[in-house]
This record gives sequence, structure tokens and C-alpha cells, in this order.
Amino acid sequence: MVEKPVIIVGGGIAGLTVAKTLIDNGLPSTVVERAPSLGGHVRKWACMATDRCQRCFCCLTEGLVQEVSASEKVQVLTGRELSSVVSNGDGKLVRLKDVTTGEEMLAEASALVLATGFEPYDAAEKIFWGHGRLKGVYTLPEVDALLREDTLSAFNNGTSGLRVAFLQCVGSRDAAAGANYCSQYCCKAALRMALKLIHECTEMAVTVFYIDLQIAGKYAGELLKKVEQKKVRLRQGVPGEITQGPDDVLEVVTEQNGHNVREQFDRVILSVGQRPSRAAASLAAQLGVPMSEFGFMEPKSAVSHSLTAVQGIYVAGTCSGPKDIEQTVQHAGQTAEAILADLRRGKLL
Amino acid sequence: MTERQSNMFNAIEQAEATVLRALIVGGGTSAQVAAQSLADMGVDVTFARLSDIPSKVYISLPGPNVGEAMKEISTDLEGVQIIDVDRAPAVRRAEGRFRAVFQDATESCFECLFVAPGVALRPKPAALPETAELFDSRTEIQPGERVAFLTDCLSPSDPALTMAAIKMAAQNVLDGGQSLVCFKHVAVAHLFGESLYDWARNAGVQFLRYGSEMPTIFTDGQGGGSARFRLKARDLIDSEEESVFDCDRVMAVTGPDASSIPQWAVEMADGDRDDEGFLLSESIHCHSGGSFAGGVFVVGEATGSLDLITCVAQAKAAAAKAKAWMSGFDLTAKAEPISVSTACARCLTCHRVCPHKAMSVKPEPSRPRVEPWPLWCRECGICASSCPAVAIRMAKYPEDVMISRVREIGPAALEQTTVVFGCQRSAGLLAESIRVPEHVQFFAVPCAGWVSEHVIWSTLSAGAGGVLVVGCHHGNCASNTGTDRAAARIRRGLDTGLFRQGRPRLGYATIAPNEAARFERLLSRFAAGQTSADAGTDYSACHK
Repeated sequence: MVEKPVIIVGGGIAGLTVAKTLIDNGLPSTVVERAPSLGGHVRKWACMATDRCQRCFCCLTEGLVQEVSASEKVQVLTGRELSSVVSNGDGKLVRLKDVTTGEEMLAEASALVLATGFEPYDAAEKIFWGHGRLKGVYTLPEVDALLREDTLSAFNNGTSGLRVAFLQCVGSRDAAAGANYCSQYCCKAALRMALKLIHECTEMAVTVFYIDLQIAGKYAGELLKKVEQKKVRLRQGVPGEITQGPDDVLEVVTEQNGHNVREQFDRVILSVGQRPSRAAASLAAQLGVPMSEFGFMEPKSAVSHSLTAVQGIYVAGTCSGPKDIEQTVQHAGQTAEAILADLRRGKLL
Repeated sequence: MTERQSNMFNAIEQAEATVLRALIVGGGTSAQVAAQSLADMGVDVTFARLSDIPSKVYISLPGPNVGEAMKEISTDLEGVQIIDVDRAPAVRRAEGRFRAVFQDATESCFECLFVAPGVALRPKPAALPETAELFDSRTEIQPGERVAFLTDCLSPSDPALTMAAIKMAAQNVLDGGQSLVCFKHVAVAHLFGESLYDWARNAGVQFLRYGSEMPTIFTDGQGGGSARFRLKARDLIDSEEESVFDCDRVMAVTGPDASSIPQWAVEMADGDRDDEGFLLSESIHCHSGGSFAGGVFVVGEATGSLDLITCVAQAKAAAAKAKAWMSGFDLTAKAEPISVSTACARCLTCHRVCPHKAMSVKPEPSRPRVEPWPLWCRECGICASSCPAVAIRMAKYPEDVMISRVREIGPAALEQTTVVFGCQRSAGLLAESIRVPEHVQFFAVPCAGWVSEHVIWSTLSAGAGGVLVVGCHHGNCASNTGTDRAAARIRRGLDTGLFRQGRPRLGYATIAPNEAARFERLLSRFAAGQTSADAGTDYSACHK
């Protein structure tokens, strides 16, 4: 058995899943997280269950955080980030920096897993959609945070019969913004959120403006059926502009047959896409891991999706491309498998 | 961490020395990847390869280097014992292992079972003309042909298949033909999907987005013109003018057909299927191919619509899970998680209700015995709470101990107290971090399904002011049916009519471990005697 731990950079759901799968297979690991606590983005998101679980996978994190923190096979280092990898005779050492003091520590590593995640698209960049400028324009994670804190009243103000519009592909499938890719999670997330909001406030009228609905996989059929039952309006085409009228009513402008059509809503929720994390580029350059044209870390191939061009360095989760939580968990499982197999071949760092 | 898990760690050091055997039944990409992956991790793999496995057109999946990547999935499996068969071996559980009888009557024993039956494509919709064809892995287009690809007819097409069709459409145009792709939703759910779409568009593929009305297809000149097919359709966005497309061939792009999954595979997966009929339920606990039943993994298209990348990821992730699962087999000194007393009437209720298939029947001549298989047992307690003879005792969570803990509160205090039994995975995790309201006594239980009617009524007869059972949300129970069983038990209690108003109160609610704020609200409102309507919670969801 190896003595040296696998060092996992990033304590979000991807990193935690890798750690958990390694624990189950008896391998030691170290989870390095820049934030003061584990869990990443998913820990800020809300449960989407209505009268049944809608398979958002968010709640998995809570158990993972608990299990990884309690495991004697895992060392958790919060408030630290990877600064460099140095050679040490027959092995490699990893330099970990304390984010507040800048103090560095050296750690031995048998393998390095990059699970640095994504950054949500800054919706304010789309000035015509008025996030941060118009009252009643939210992003998907913002509504998640309200639900999580059980303060949805701040969203609906106790008003029933709200007209709510979702705008899909905010910052995704957007060649002009350098993001000509699908962010994978937002269609399903928006539809689940629509059903959740209707479950919480039954009088709500929801419209989803989309380019194409990307909802493959398990539960996709069920999700579409439910959306239909609950009378969620699906409208093809993403609005060009949102303006605010009297009484804070939001007017959404769409195009139909070459004409502008105006529709009124009380709230708009922007489904923001996933962007590569800002730290990813310098980290990848430092380690010699190639980047994709969109700034995500490039896996070795479509099949060896957890390996990188550098032996002993692996990727897990959204740092190697946008994913929803289910895909992230699966990808992290694949990463653990790659490490276990390479360990037997003696092909680690 | 539970005690059993830490025992597992100590044992893992020796696990490498033990031979772990996996059986893979089926074929196709997923089976191959899983087989190679298990072998790479040191597992002794037998692959019962079925000669005829339906598969999709992965090979033409577009994207950078996919052709190259496909070569990585070698059919030449290293370190895997391949047995070519034309029917699946008969597999049954015996003493915590899988016993397989192969076609040639040889028998072998395995620690885990992989099921990869593949799936056929849905046939071409009957609404299409007879001469329309089904797009599949055998589809070839002659140079210069005019072809219409019809996706999403009646039900959504498989995204990976749609992308393969778009690729073929583009290639056809580059080879001098004409292509039309009619769709409702473009499948771009791949990083390179968007570039494929742009590439096809630039190549000259016509795209037409139809709304609720499918394109009308005329054959043999009936819609005018001399072509074999004439399609008329309105674009959803630009609907003023009807488009007309004449072509030689019409291809229907469908998706995987759950009804084509063979019976042997359904049986091996213990009949666990999702709402659409694909193998493995929709529970998040069945992700990456793991089933509720101990040691059974299901991979590939039979679990739903998957593309190549997902298929590979699923097979590999499942292999890592299986390796972990098998490592536990080395445990020599295991504590018995449950014991069956002589009161057992051998009604086999436990065998039937156990979601993890941990109960086995030992056929002894004089007296068949029900015997739990410790490694498979996840200690949910569904067997114990369902046993009509009260013959099953759980070592770590015995009912009588819980009931005496409730009684310890004392009758005077109990009258003021709402006793809450919550699943340790959701409510139990939360109870450690939230402010538990006054007059609420929380007890973590292994699963909501652990809470038997005996426990509920004993608590009430001890004088509790109320009993609330909190499980995970429906469809998110780690023991599949635990939360639903709890709901049904409370439902039966409420049906007695004893709980119409005032105290004691009886209720059931569901929660997820990331709903701390909602859990606090739910507890305080239930304890305060509010009805579900003004509490805005679903603690009597079982009324529905």
C-alpha cells in the first residue's frame, strides 16, 4: 500500500467524492480547500424536493462533508491552496500556501487531483437583462440561497399569483462572450426550481425562455411531464431586453416572426452558466496541464476523461468542463478509478 | 463514521491478498470498460460476453479525437477471462455471494455482479410513412442523396444519437448531397456540441425547428413535385412561410427503448427500474451504476439515455465503487448487525422487504433458516420493523432500548414533549447543528423505515404529547422504501381517527440534510400544534 496521500485540490463535491471513494478503497488523501470550510458551491444551494426528490443531488454534499471530515484516512486542510509542485529525488512534493498568512508547507503526494470547480457567470455583464440594476431580477443561485435560508418570502413578498420568467443560457452558448458551450446544469436546474417555486406558492405562473432544452438522462422524461402538468410555459427564444415599468413590473421583449413582443412579469430569474475558475489558468500553466479553448482544463481524451497530459495529475468535476452535480459525482468516481488503476501500474506522480 | 467502516479500514490492508471476483454479464462499450477497469484495479474478472448486444452509434459520435478515444476501449481485454455465451448465465445469491451457472453447466462464485445488457433503439414511429427509415449504426448514405433527419418525433430523441445524425447530415452535404434536420430541441449537451452544430450549419445543413406540429411528409408526389418524399413544415420562430423540402430518404432519429431490456437483466437488477422502465431507480443513491441491492451494479444504456463519455464515466465509477464494496469481503471478525430469534415463523417477510438483499434462506433439511448476510446489511431496520413475529433484533439499534430511552423522559415531562424520530442521513445530520425547539426530543434512527408501529404506539402509550417521524424525501431514501413505509405507518395511525385534534399529535414529514432552516420551522410548528396548512410544511404529506 502507498503511504503517501493523494492530494486533492478543491473541497467541493468533486473533491469530496474523490476522497470518499478513495476512503472506501482504503487510500489516504489530503483535501486542500481555499475557503474556510468544505462543500463548495453546492453547499449554498437548496433542496429542490417538492412532494418527492427531484434528483438535484445537492444534499449529497452534507453527508460527504461529514464523512470526509470524520475519516482518519483524510487530512483536511482548509484556508490553503496549491502553490507549486516540486521534484524531490524519486518523488514529488506539493507546496501548499496558507491563503491568509502566505506561509507555505510541503507535503508528499502520490498523485494530484485538480478539483478546483467553476465560477458562476456574472449576470451583470448582460446589462440589457438588468441584474443588479432592475428590481426583481435574480440569478438562479440567489433564489437557491433564499430557499436554503427558508426566506422565500423575500422573493415573493407574500404576494400570490406572481408571474415569474426564467431566462436560460445566461452566459452560455454565447460565442460573443467566448462561451460557445452549454453549461449542462441550468436547464434541469431551472425546471426543478420552477416546480419547487410552484410547490411553495401554488398560484405562481412560470414561463421559461430557452434556446434548446438540454435535459438528457434519468428523470428527464419525468421532469418534462411534471413541467407540463404544472402548466409551466416553455417559450423558445431568449429575450433581448428587460425593462422596468410602473409598479416595478418587468417587461420582457422577445422576437416572434420579426416583430417585438412584450410580456410582463413580476420576477425574472437568470440561469447563469458556468465559467472556468480564475485560478485555473495559472494553476494549469504551472503544472503543464493543457487548457481547452474555453479555459477549462483539458482531459486526456473523451475516454480517459479524468487523466491529463501530465502523469500523476488528474482532474475531477467542473474544472475540466461544465457539469451538473450528477455528472460531477460520476466524473469524480471515474477519477478515483483512474488513480486506483494507475496505482497498481505504478504510474503515479 | 460507523464502527463497521473503521473495521473495514483495518481489514483493507490485507484485502489485496484476497482474490476478489467479479462477474460481468452483457456486452458493448460499458461492459468492456467495466471489465478492463476492474481488472486494472486487481479484481479477478469473468466476462460472460453475450454474442448479440444492441448498441447505438457511438463510433460516429462527433467531437475532437473521439475516433482516437474509441481505440482506447479495446475489445482485447487484458487480464479478463472472457466466456462467449449466447444466453446469460443463471445467477442467484448464495451465502452472500453470487453463484452463476453458465451455459456449459459450469458453476462459479463471485463477490459482485455487473449487468450490462445494452438496449435497442425505439422503432420508427408508426405515424411516419412506411418507407421512412430508422437511423442507427448501420445507416449509410450514398453520395448525392437528399436526406431529411427527423428528431424528437413523439418523444425526445437521444442527444448522442441526434448529434451523430447531425454529423452524418453535414458529411452528406460535404459529399455533395442535401440534408435537412427537423428538430424540437438541438442536443448540444456536450462541450463540443455547439461547435458541431455551427460546423453543420456552415457546411450547409438546413435546420428546421418545429413546434407542436410535426412536419407533414408526403410520399410519391402526393404533395406535389417528383421526389420520393416531400416535407412541409413551419419553423417555430419564423412561421409565416411554410418550408418545403424534397428528398430521397427520411430518417427517424429515436432513442433507447426500455421495453427492449431483456428479462434476465431485469431479474439480475432485482426488478429495480425507473419510471421510464430503464434499470435502476431514479434515487440519487443509485448513481454511477450502484443498485440498492448489495453487490449489484448496472451499467450502460439500459440505465437510461447515455452518451459515450457518460457511459465510460459510469462504468469506471461503478468499478471503483465495486472495488470498495468487495474490499469489505475480507472482514473476518464481523459483528452480526442483526440476529433472528427462534420466534421466526419463516414467513420470509424480511427477505421480501430487505432493499439490500441481505436476507438469505438457508435450506436445511429439518428447518430452513432465515439468515442475514452481515456485509450486505446496511442496518436500515426495515426487516425488524416489518417482522410480524418480532423475531429480528438489531445489534446497534434495538427497539426496546429506544423505547426505554423514551420512557426515561418520565410521564410528566413526556406529556409536554413531542418525540421526533428522524433518519440519521437527513434529520439526524441536521439535529446536530440546528436549535431544537423546546419540548422537542429528537432521536436519530438509522432510517425512517426503522420506526415500527410498535415504537410509535409504545411512545404514545408512554404518554408522549406527540410523535413525528421524519424521513428523507420520497425517492431519496438510501434504503429505497424506508421513508415510504414510515409514511404508510403514520397514515394507518391517523386513519384510526384518534388524532383529529389536540394532543397527542401524530405526524410524518420529509427533509433533506441541506434544509436546516426549514427543519427548524417544521419542528417548532409541529410542536406548537399547528396544522400542516398554516405551518406551510408537509408533515402530513401522507394524507395525499
